[in-house]
Amino acid sequence: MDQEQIQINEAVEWFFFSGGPGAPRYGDDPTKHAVDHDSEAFVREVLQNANDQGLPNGDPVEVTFRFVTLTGDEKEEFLDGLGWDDRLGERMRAVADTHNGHRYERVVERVNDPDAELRLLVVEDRNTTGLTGSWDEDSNYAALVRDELYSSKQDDTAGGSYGLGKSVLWTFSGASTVVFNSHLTHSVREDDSPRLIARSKFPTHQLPEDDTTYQGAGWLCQPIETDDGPRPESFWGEHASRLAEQLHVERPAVSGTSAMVVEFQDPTRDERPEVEDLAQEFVDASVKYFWPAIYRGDLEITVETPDETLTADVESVPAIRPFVEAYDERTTDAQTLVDPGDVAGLDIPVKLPPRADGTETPDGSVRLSARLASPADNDAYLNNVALFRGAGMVVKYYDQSRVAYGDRNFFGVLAAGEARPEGTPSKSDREIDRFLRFAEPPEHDEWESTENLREQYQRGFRMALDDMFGTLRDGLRHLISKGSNGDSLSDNVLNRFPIHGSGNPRSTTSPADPAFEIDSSSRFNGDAWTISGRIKVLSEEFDGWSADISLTGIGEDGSRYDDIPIDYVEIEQSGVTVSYDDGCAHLVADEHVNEVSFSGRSHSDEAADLVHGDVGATQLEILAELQTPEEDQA
Amino acid sequence: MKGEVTLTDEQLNEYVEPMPGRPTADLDRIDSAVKQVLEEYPEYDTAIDGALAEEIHRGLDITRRTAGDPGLWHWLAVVRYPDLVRHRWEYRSEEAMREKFLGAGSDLYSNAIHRLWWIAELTSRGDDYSTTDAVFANQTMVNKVFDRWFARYQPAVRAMCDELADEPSRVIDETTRRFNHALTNVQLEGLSENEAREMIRQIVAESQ
Repeated sequence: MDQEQIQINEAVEWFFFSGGPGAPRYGDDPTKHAVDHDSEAFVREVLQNANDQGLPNGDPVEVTFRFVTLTGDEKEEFLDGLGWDDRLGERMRAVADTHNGHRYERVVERVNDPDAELRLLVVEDRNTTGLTGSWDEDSNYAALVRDELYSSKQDDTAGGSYGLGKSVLWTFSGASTVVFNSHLTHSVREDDSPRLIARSKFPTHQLPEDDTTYQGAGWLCQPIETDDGPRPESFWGEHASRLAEQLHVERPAVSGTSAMVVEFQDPTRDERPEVEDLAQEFVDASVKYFWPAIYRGDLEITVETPDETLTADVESVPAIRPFVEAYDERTTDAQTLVDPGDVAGLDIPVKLPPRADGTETPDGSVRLSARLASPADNDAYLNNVALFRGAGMVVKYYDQSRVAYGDRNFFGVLAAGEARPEGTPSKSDREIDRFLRFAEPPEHDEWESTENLREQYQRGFRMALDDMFGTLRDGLRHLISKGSNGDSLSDNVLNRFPIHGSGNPRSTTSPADPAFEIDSSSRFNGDAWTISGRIKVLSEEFDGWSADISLTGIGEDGSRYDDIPIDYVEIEQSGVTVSYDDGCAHLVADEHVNEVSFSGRSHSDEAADLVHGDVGATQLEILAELQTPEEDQA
Repeated sequence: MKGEVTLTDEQLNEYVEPMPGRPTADLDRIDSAVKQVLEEYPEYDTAIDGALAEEIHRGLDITRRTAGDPGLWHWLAVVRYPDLVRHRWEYRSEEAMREKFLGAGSDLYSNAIHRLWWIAELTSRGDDYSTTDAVFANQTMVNKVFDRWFARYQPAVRAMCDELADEPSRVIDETTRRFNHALTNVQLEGLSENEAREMIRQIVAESQ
């Protein structure tokens, strides 16, 4: 930005940089579009940020979500403190007139309607670092208040490494404005706490009777002059305290930050949910994703509404309890599951490539445990494996229902990195934690090949991940299987009841070594089936291979119907040709291709109706055939 | 199975045991009906089914629970009326014929006599066997409806038989197929007869 063109508007205490003529314009905050934005994602991102900023004193990070609703005089006083009449309101009206500004119009209406309430959400964390540092240095403060998509987290175990999570605060503010009140620790200005500043992220805009073009970002602050030009500066001490009180963002004098989202709203919903309902959703989402951290005593979460205070403990969400038990008993020696509620576990070996600078990484393992489901369990996440590492946040619930059969349903846990051991993590645990952190995309909802991994590690990171997941699936099958005692009474009894299928007893002999590893999924999306999958050749030597992909309707009694025609199948790898015959897709791969991922779609059936037999149970079938060198000679 | 060997009572006795619950039957009535059928109908005539179903159903005073015991049907087919079974069903393979004599239990379509009783049981309304007759008059209906799982649920069977009575084979085929597919989404036993009827009507309309 051209320093000469910076303008300050000291009078209103809202400071906006001016881009001047020819400066790039911002229609909207780009980070708003980067992650899913339901309230579950909000809770997840916000908690992850707080969790990452915990102080290394062994005490838990405490987070309180506090909903505040304002009407009447309280609302007036709040708006006064926010500088609404000191041109913030005028500015928001101007923003509302830009073509991206429709949402601001609704906020302006709400402010001006004496009967309408304003809804604030305060996210207060304690025993965290707080907003330390200054505008001009690489700091917590600068990362949150100044920067975009910039993370200051240096710690190898931190949950985030993109700086994207904090953007949800603005995304969920109808006014795109967030107020921060922080109590600092270990800082030269600790005695000056609290520290308060507000930041808005508007589109580029102009004010009436003013031909200046303002950049989107603005600060409610005390602007100061520096050698490099004017800068927004936070309020400190007594001044900050008074303003915090007026803005309902006051906090106890313990280290941490309170972030207040002005006019909280979920951008994905058109209705305005009751605060009580939102509070329950916050509890559910907190436990769903952070139960490992809560269970380990690293994180305490409460949600407050004007009427009640809810605590997010692992007991409060029934769907999560089986996972907690699987984690609690993960070090068990048991390798077989007999009765519902049993937990068995296995070590999954992990081999990491050397770091990019050539540093060798020690081999280690992650711990898989599974609990056999009982009919009494809440089955919302049945047959899923919760994946997490030291940060204590569940990265994802990994659907492994294909491994389950009969009544052998389960809840699985993969405790990786620093979450694996009960005591002090080993060197390899720490390295695996670091590796998996870099394997997370900005949304932190997957462990996969990423740009970050490529930067941090030498070749082989992708195979390390594939191998870990491959072994995980095999290990899970081993745990879920009934073991070698095939003559058990229950097997014999079960075979007498041919309830499903043709009634053949289950085979107890093990199948021949498979030539392929195949994963697939299909889903009906309203008018067509979307399919995806992965076919991997397990054999070392082959001359090429082919696969037929088809979709078949299935009746209630398992009878097979006509194929559902496949419209197209897409494959990104080269060396594979796709042809279609009678609604089936035929893949031919040459000898250089040992793995193919595909996605595709059936022809759409817009009349599809669930009770007319247009759409129902459907089987995605992949028949793969390997061509080996021996066959060529024969 | 082909009828080349005749088993004596002595050979059979060691395998025969009394039924629990002491069910009763008017076997004379069934005997005479069977005798009449053997005289009047040519071999392998599918019309035999319709001619016998009502008499067998009326002649056997049994509950559905008793009807679920395969032993009863094995006795009727193997001991009491083996000639009838062979008259109705041409010997095509050991496996197929074994099913006609020794099927039963959960598979209501297999045993030659079992299937007549069950289809009559599921389609009659009190003394009214008109639906039973209509079903047996149309072998496509017998095959497509009663060889499917939903055939065990009477409200669905009645609705299906009523709605398909006058439809051509193609529509019967398509409708039963689609209904079976729709039942992967809808809980069969949760449907009332009227709800099943409404579903079937709509499917018939789309199948024509």
